[in-house]
Amino acid sequence: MEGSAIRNFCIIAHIDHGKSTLADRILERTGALSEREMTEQVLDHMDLERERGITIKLKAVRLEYRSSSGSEYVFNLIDTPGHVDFTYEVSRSLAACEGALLVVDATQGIEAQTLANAYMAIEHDLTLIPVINKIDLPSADPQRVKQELEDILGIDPSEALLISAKTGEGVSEVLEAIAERIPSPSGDSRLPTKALIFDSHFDVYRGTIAYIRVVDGAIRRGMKIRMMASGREFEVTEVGVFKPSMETVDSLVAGEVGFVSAGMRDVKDCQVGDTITDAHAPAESPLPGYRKVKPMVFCGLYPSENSDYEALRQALEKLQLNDSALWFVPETSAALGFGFRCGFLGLLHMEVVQERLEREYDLDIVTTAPSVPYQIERTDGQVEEVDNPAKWPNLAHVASIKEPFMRVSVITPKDYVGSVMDVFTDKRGTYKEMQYLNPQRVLITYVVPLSEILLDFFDLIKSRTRGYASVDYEFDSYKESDLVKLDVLLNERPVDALSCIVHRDKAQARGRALVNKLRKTIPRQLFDVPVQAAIGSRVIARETIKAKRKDVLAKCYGGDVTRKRKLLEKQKEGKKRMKQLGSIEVPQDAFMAVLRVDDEE
Amino acid sequence: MIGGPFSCGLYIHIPFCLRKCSYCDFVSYPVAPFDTARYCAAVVKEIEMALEGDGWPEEVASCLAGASGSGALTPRTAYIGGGTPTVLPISELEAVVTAAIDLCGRGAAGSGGIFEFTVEANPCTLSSYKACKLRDAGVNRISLGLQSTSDQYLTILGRAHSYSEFLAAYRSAVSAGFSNISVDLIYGLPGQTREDWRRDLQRTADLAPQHISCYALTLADGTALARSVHSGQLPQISDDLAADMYFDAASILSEAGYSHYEISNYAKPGMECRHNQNYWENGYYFGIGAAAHSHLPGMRCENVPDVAQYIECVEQGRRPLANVEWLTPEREVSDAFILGLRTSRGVDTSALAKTYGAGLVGEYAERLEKLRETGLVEFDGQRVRLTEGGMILSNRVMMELL
Repeated sequence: MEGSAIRNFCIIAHIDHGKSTLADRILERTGALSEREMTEQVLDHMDLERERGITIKLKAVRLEYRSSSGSEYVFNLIDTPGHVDFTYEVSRSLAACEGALLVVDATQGIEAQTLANAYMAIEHDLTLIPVINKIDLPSADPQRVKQELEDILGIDPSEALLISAKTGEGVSEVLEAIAERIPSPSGDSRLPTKALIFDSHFDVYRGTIAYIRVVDGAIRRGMKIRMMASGREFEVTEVGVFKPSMETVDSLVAGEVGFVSAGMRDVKDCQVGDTITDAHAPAESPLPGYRKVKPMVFCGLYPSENSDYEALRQALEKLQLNDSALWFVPETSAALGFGFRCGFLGLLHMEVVQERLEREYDLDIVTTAPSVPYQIERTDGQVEEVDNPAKWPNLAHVASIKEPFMRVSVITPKDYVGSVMDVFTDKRGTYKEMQYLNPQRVLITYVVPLSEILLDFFDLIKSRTRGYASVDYEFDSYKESDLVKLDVLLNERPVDALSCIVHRDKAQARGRALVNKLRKTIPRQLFDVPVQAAIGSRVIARETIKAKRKDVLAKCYGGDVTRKRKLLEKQKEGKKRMKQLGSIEVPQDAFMAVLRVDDEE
Repeated sequence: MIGGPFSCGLYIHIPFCLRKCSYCDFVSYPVAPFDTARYCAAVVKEIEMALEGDGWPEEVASCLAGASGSGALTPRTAYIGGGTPTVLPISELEAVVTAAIDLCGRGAAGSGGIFEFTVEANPCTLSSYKACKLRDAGVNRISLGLQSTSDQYLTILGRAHSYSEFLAAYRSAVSAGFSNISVDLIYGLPGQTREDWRRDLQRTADLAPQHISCYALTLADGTALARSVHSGQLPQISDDLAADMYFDAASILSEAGYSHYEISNYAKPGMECRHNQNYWENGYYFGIGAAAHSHLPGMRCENVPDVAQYIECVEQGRRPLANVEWLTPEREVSDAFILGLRTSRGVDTSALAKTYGAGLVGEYAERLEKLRETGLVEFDGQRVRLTEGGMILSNRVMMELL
């Protein structure tokens, strides 16, 4: 394929601004799929993605387009994850493109993720095509959106295309603009091979399949390739493109996008961001930007039934084949038995994994409240990372404790500025800046500890702004904080799985809220159960779960035996779903109580 | 083979009431549209069919008192319950009683035949005349539904009678010569205080019936009372208060000379209900009438609940079964535990081992030992029973013995 006819692009947008619908229209118009073949939003593969309306794994599709002037083009549409947890994957797919469609909802205007994505695209030197979507809606205000694009992103309003992905209006102009405005790839197929891995997926027959953008040189079937970061070498068994189904080709040359399979059995052989080169004629240096993805949110996952431990391990291994960002190691909890410490990119990533374990692998799991990785410097200068409150060190030997902070941007109508700032203040945020996007809407930026975001930050922002605000965040830095470990004691015995790390100033309030929440979550037992929150040996809050005094079937005569038996069986089932901590039965969601303490206040 | 502890009972269900009480989730219908005479005729015919062994499995037939049977399934107690049996015209009820006694024989506790014959009655439907006729027909025990001595709570419960109407019915039974009368009470009513309940208990104890049942109210889904409570029209019922009331009953009634012989039942010495004790001993019984349940060797079964369908089946000479459950020995042992633990005598594990095999019963040893640690269960190696405090938490124990 002639490099000058190739257009590599992606679509970036805030969630629900119409990215997937526009992708569907583009697929339809270029004949990649007939309307009959279209299930709505083909690019979202997994059920879960479709249900949640989010795109988790990006995909690439090769499309053929004949412009109005009669020229033939190859479009490579690279789909990007729409969620803030997957920033690194977004950045890698942007790096595979020369241009991006920046989709903005005509009724909403620029939102937090519009900005984050646009800035990232600008950073990668992509040509932006502003697309104002949903102009068919009565509340559409494209003029205002154009103004925002100009004021905030410096985009010439005359460049904006007005479309409705739903009705198809303006989609032809989008296709023409892709052909006309986005530059063709600039690589050289005579140079040593460099191909960027921007995603991968695991196929049971072929092993790991790498999604690649060839920057220089070419990749051919039979060629010996080397992964420049890992150093592993493989022989290419298959090269191909997605149309959108997989079709093999002889080679992919500079500028092209497609897939490579090379008998890579381990997801670690093929890391997103790594550069593939020719093992016999390697490039001198890899493409810039590779980094190992680092989990920022951790939790314990335990099987409800101890006998499911092996099944849980196998399920995690299988998920990991398709999800290199998922990290796990075995861990043991005195309370919960054998399980795994798992690391995720963020909260959504964690929820997706938990849901897939329950839904696709039919596992009943107990999840502990998520925590963040803390950097602890000992007095002897050693630094270690602690991702589990149960492993919190003795403070006597600690010089400093740092926790990860995020740079959080909220775009909100101006009426809610005060409320948003109150939330930030309450969450130990540090003010950075405030910018009026227009007279009505304000961009507020704070730096906030990630541990506070995990709690209920999004819910608070949503409720305090009646859902009008949008949020985006990125890692900022590790900073020192005055943190303490809050232990929970049930019946005078500490429960490791309920411990959490809190800021000293908040310990009292959190402790009180936590024991109160646990008192309501844990059912009454046969004896009084004291619930205490403690820092070290100092108890800072206490409640008592009063003993259950009546649990009886008042009547049982000849006609009732089978019926009463069933009632008892049902009750026993409920009991079986509880975790037995010593002589206390604790429902599984109690372990998440740490997270939800603020509901009650 | 039927072992020693078993006796056999005959239960007859009369699924008719004047009207449905607000808390009731039993099978009962307003009596008005039904041909009760035809129903009673069907009941008599079903007793004959059941005792003659028509259509029963071999194991049951061989225990019946027939040409070749062992007679181990000859009922020794009878109980007509409901519904409200006394809404029937007395001639119809009499005919059922007479047929039951004719078919089973009549006798003293030590000999063959029925020695305890109970009829349930509600105050408004028990006149002196009816009481005397029942006595004449061979009934020797009356169970009267009082529920509360306060008219306010009787209204909440949707009862058709007042406290004074109950007293009149009670006197009718006494003057008819009944010397074994049971009175039912319910506690834990919406809004009821401990003082209210203690007054109910005191008044009832003062009346000195031979037997008193005290039931904690169960709000059954779908009942009018449950709807009123869930909608907030009536106050919620506190488990803690109900527990206090349970202990009030235990202390006031034992003071008055009653023994607490089952979770919800109290009796003067020797006046325990033999028919019900048979249920709790996991004994066998024939259930006759619409919606009645039977327990027979190897099976539990259940009649169709619909009256018309029931009558049609029986008239055509078919057994009116809706459902049969075949029982494994494992299930019988488990039932024996959860039923037997309801009583103060508890379960005789060595007798159980003799009937069902030491292996099956032995499997419970570890669980029983663990339950003993909770203080809810006492276990002397042979007999296992609930403690007084264990009775009101009995689900916690029984759950472990399923």
